[in-house]
Amino acid sequence: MHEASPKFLFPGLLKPNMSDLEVQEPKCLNLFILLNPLVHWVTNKGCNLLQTADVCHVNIVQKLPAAENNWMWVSCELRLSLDEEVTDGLRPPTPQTEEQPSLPPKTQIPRTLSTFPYLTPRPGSPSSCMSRFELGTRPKIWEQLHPPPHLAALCHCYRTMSRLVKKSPSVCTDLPLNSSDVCNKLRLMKELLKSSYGPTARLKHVHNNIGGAVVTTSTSSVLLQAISCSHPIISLIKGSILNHVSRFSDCGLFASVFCLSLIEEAGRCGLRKDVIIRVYKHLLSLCTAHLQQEDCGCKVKLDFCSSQSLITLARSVISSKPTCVLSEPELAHISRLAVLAFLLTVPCNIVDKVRLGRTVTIPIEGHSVLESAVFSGLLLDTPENISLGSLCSPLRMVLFSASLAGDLSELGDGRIEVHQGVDTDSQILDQLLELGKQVLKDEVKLFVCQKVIHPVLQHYLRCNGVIVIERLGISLMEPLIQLTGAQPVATLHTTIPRTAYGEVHNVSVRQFGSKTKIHLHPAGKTATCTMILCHRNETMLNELKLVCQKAEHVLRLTLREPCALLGGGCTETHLAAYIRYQSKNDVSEPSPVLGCSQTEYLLAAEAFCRSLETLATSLEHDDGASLIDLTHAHHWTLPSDVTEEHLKDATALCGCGVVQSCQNRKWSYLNTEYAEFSPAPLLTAAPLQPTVLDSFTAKVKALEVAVETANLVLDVSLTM
Amino acid sequence: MEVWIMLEGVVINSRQHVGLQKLSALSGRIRSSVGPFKNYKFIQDESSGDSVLVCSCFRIIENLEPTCTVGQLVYETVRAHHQRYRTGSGCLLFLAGAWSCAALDSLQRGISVKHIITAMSEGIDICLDVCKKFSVSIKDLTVMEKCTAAPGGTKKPSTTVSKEMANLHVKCLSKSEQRKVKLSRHFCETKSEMLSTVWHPDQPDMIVIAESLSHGCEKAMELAVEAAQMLLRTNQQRISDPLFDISKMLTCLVSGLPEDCACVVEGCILLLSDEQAVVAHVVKQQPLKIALITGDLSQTYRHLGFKGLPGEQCVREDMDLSASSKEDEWVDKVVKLLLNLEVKLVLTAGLVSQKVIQHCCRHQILVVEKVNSSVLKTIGSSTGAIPVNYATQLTESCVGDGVNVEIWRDLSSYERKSLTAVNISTGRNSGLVTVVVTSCVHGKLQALEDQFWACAYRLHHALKDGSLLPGAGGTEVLCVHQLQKQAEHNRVKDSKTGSAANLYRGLVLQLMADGLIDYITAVMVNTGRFSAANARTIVSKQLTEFHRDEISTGKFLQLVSQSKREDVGFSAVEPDETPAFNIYDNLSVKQEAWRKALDLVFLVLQTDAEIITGTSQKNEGNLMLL
Repeated sequence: MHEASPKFLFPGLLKPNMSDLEVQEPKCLNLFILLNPLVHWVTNKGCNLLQTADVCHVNIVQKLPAAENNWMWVSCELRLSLDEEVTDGLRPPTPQTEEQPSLPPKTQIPRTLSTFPYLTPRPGSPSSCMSRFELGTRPKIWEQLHPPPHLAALCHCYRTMSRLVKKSPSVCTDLPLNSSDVCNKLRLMKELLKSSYGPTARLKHVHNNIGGAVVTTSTSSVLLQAISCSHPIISLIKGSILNHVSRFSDCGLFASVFCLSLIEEAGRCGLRKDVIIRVYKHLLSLCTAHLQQEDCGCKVKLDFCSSQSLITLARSVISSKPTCVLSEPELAHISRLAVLAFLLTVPCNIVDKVRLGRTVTIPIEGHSVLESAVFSGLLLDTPENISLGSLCSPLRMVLFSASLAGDLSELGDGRIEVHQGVDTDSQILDQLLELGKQVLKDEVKLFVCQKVIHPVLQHYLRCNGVIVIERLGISLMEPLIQLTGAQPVATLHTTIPRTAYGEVHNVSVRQFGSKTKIHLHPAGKTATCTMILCHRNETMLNELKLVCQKAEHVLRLTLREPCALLGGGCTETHLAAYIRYQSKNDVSEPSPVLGCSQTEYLLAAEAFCRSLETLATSLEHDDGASLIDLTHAHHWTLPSDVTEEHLKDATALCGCGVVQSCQNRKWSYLNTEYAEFSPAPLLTAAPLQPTVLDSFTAKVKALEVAVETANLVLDVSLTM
Repeated sequence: MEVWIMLEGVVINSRQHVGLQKLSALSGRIRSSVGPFKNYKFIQDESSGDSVLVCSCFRIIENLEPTCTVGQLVYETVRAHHQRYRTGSGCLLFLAGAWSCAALDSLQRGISVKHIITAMSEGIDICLDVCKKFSVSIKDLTVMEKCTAAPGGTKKPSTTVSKEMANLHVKCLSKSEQRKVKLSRHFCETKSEMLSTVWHPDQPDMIVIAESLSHGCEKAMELAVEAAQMLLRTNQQRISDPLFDISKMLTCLVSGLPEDCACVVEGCILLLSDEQAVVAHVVKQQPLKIALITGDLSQTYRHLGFKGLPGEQCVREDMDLSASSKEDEWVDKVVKLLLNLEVKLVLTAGLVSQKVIQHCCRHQILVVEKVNSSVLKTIGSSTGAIPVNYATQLTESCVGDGVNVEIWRDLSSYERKSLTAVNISTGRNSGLVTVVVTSCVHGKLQALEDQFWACAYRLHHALKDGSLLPGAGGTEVLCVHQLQKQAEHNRVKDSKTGSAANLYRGLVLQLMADGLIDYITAVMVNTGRFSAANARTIVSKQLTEFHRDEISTGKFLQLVSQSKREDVGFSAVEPDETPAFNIYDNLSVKQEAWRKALDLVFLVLQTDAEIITGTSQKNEGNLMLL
């Protein structure tokens, strides 16, 4: 790489209609895209994108304030780049055949201008000038991408940068994965996340360097968000894992560790990147197909007739975060509550469309975990001195989403001119009191506002026997609407239509330590419930809250696919054994299709299996050894202080608790060679009763995300 | 001051668990402040030169403002504990340090984190079990105290330990006598007097409990008892339920008066400025009407959450310079309203503008600002006044009546700026009790107030729990005994089965017990009567005695409680005036402190990395960048 030569990236500007892709200015192309669907979609299409256009990375440059529903605006920077040889400008854009022994992948994949029909160098112009290149009229990239119309419409391209600043040439890294710096960073990230994986994980303190609150956690969403990374490859991995977590809650660490070890193993086996990518892809489809099969050995059908397997599932999720510091009875209690809350959110009488209810989680610090509870209905904060007179059921209620503070905040920055002597404040207050009068006339007994209520109005209503609750907050609005059937009133300038009123069956006051809560009992059947979570201190409580929300999500996923995977590393070892067996026995069939030799195929498959086994070994953090038994391919751990003889002891169980050890069982250490075998199904009359279960949906998706992200990273040939 | 400076003295070994080392270093700072004998400490801010006098462990940590991760975690935990219990923070922090040392030790011996956690969880279960088993119910306690108070009840000190201790006492006598004279010249008399007046045949418990819980703060405890009994009396609570409502206790800090002047007064004592004092003299000793305002009393005040109109502009059609300002109009309106309602006393939780005070004084309306909002609530409920946010909101129905203002004391002579204290009471059972804490030294007030609250909360929690733990290290000794027994048991069992896990468990339990012994000795050393070595010998001697005798649990307790009184004597009370009561600790406070200490150790123990977000100026050597 020449120091003097500037970037040979080819930046351009894309327009939404894709018909006239052209270079408007020689710089980055910025797309505004909706993160959730599009980045994911681009990531999935990543290989395509890379193969055709050599897009080096998708870099999230800027995050805009989040709107609703986890949708987030990001500005993505897609940098198109040319190969080094081409950008040197000294060579004609003809296919490269020159051998470069030090960089084998590069020569293997011809990267030439001829594959970019829309990029044509203007002959004779100086190589350092970027505007030499022009985009052709045929937007091959977007042709290849084929964005669905709704996404294409969301792509809003705009021009932000003016001129390329020439004095600070960007740093261009060829084959970033060959650089030791990048590899070190990836290894560090892997170690960091690996050590946070599983129920005996090591925790991380997250804090900023100027003081402030310390978060102690081993949750992927918190950890990854805290990592601010300097390298685009790490941002890419981080982004795709966070996206997975936002959709499925679970298996974030699983996906990241798997993805990072796939990348590492790929580097270690020394194969061409394109071969590895194709084999990884093939093996992934093998895995998912196997997991979808009815008789898959590591899958358990969930029985909704008994809560036992659901509790086991919830328990596995909750116990996976040691920051919660839960004792055995506390763990059982919280798992039971999580399942109870989940069941309360499933509506009883389904008319046409199933609509799951909500669980509202309220953390209360300083109490024993065993005091946590789940209530049907909603619990809201209330001033201490609440007096519930004799209220006849049902109670009519009104819900405001507009601020009733007595100001005109919705005016924004507009200017108002008022006459001397006109008191706007008192006029608005009069309006508020009018509202109060109407509400009283309509016999409303419960008055709730998302924002602040003017104290005078509060006073007036309270004096007339109305229960007033202010500052509800946006997060409770939706559950309250579901519970009461009220329509939020967004203005104070009109009379309230009678249809806007909602109903509650009854209210009661509950005391939790120093906190007073008002309990709204639903009028009809509802699927809204409240979970009060208690713990001794804030750190543990925060983690407990996260973990309970995760458990709820995982339980919800079972409604779609009523099965679970064996936990404790057994699914991973099982899959590894299965893939090994399949690849060794069917090697002749897939290798020609994938365009590689049989040895190459086997090597790449070995890398894949080893990455799977890494996941199982990552569960152990106390220097214990991880083993696989050679009949069922389940995962076993051997603590550092016991001999192998201990495993023969009839009391030992495998990671998921299904297989019991016996004298004639054979084991092999993980990540060592063992003869391939087909994992034998467990033949028992009774249905399996594993003690650890993992979410099926989340894990399958995590597998996909990990492999596809790893493939995308492996395909990156140049970063700038 | 930063923790860096604090940690400087301790060499942190980067090969061992850094977090645990930091935790134990932090807890080392308060070693000399655990137990009833505390020394005052100065904490100085090097950058600004400010300094503060602190006494309790919580205040030390609070003023140290730890910035490191572990420090933050410690502070968060200690603060949460202090807010709820007001006592026991030292115990929490010390044990967190002691047990983190135990964890460090275990790690060094090659025990895995998993085993340490399992063993320590078992250890805390044993300790909490001991607490449950050996707690004494308050009712039994009273009976027991009466028996032992009888002349024949006391045992003669006969063991060798006690002799040894007696020698020690002689050596330290001169020093302790000095201290005694300084502290309590009038104290002995007032004590006996107070006890006799306060004695109520129906509530025999409280004094006994209070004495045993005073932990060296006898004066503060007397105030607490007096306040509690006054609360019970004024609220005419059922006698069978001696639990008092601690939220109705207030403190009023007065500097410039000697400490002996501290007292308990029924009602709410507030300090007034000169101007207000004049009004107070006019309105005193007559039933008054009262208004309660929860916001500020000024024209510009708006309630929380109100956003004014940023773009509002006033348009005038004519130039009317004679018109009074908006504020004057508002003040006139408010004063007129107050006069109409015949309100003579206004209490506000917020501030009051100077103009309002002046106007009100002119009309003989007493306005007091910055009143605690819980006081407003209590006065409101006893007078029928409804607290409102704006003065203009006031109507007939919001006004309460029957409040009395009395000049409690004129404190002007003590300080240059004039200061008058008034007592606001409602004829009926308002239920408020104010404890006036006094000191000639302004810097000491905070510590004295803390002491009072610690005592009041100890009393409150004792009554709430209904039982107490043997104090003066008794519970700890029992726990050590049990832990060691269990450790021994594991060792024996282990030699038979040959499993390593059990061996580890025994080891960790033993180390945990050592942590508790460390705590006991630290408390003993802090009394100033023992050297560290001496203290340790005494404790271990006692323990071997327990082990040898294999005493049954009931007898064991008896032994501990007696030995406490006679020999160990690391109680706060001077041995030559050994009182007729034992020393006890709070059950729930101790349990909670222990558990929180262990939680801290667990969180730190399991942590292997710190993620520092944001840009860092100083890059340390061991930082890795992603």
